[in-house]
Amino acid sequence: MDTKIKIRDFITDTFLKTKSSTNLSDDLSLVESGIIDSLGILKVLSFIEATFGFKVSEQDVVPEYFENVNALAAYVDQHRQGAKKH
Amino acid sequence: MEQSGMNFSLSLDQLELREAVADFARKTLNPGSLERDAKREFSRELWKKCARMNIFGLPLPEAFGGLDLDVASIVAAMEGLGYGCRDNGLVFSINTQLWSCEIPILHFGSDEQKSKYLPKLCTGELIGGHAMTEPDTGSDAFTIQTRAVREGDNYRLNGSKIFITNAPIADIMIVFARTAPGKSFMGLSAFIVERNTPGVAFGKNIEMMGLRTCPIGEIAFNDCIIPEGNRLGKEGAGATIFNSEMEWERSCLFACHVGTMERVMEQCVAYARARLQFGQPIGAYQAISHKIADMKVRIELSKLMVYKIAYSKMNGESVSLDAAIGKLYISEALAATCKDAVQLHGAYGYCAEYEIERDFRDSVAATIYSGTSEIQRNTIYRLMDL
Repeated sequence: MDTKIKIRDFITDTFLKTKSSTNLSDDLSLVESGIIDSLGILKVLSFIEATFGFKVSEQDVVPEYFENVNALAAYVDQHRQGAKKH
Repeated sequence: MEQSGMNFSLSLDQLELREAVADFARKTLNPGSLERDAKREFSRELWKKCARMNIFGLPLPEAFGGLDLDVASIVAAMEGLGYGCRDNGLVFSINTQLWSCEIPILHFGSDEQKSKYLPKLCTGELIGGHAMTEPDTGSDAFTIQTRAVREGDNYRLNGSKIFITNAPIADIMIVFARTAPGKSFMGLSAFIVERNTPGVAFGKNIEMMGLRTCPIGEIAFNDCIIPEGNRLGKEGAGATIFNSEMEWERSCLFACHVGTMERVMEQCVAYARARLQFGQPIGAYQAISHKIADMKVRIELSKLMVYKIAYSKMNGESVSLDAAIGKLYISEALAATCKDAVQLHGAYGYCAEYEIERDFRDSVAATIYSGTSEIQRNTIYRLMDL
């Protein structure tokens, strides 16, 4: 399954299951929209590490990688490729 | 002890380290602790002695003067510190520097920042802390209002902080400020701020109920210019840095409290054996022996938790949930144990000379700092996927 779909499904299932709207656009800011808070980030980290098989560096937990589904998917794909090369 | 792949037994080296730190604390840090508490006095001389013992180097690589110990060994040393040292305020000051200043610089700092600050923190030449809490934000930490506005290669810092551990004595502080309004917790960044920076003003000691030998105060930033080179980590990484610090603090500081509980229980056992009432030692009465049994239960469960967390950290596992559970349980266990110890000692426990009442006053803070018990319960609930 495509990285972006897996991430979008996880966020929808985990953070939007009690919300009336479950239409999550890939460029919607997850933080500014209030979908993910500081504890929610921990769940996203666990999901990424368990699903995509690499350790997320603490230094990488910044807006440029966690802003929205697009940014998360690009970050994951970049690091999965890096992991495969090693 | 070994079960289900978990091995919490300590090596001979770790046991010796725990005893060596406890012995150092008893001989070096305890003399005069009663008087220092009464005078609310921090001792820079003892701080230097802790540095010579390399307490501040426990988690640091050898390149910075540290011992580069694994987490379980650090926890063993912390347990020894809490067990040996009656000066709980000093212990708290030490832990603040270790987990809220050294660790974030080690994990998020540039090579230049590490080389500049870590060796001097290790030798005691510098004292460090961190500044998060503000007058209107405590548990809701990520709503801080202190602003850092980018101006070319600098940031202009404005705002104020309160209840900042080590502030009256610190040479450097990790200061958290908002760099991107509207981005919630992702809009925070962290900065290394040196004491002599123009625009920084440190307030006087705030008188607290306990931890009186640990200086706690206010800091104000008034058009304080911070070079970009003093930003810790990337812009927007403030919340991650803070969470990382708190996880270390909840994992290691609370090992000290396990040691403190052991010390307090031993004092209670000795008193229960020696104190005679109605013709027999008070330990013969269930009202007393059950208190001591409860202390033992709390200590053993707390030990399991701190070493479980330590080994999980060593295995690279996330410990956010366990650290919250451990912090909640151990802080409440410490407060309950110290309160029972006062009651067990009667009027002697209530008088300063026995130093039991001080342990009790100091213990209350543990249920508040590093995230209150209520916040830990919120965290545990949220991380349980209910």
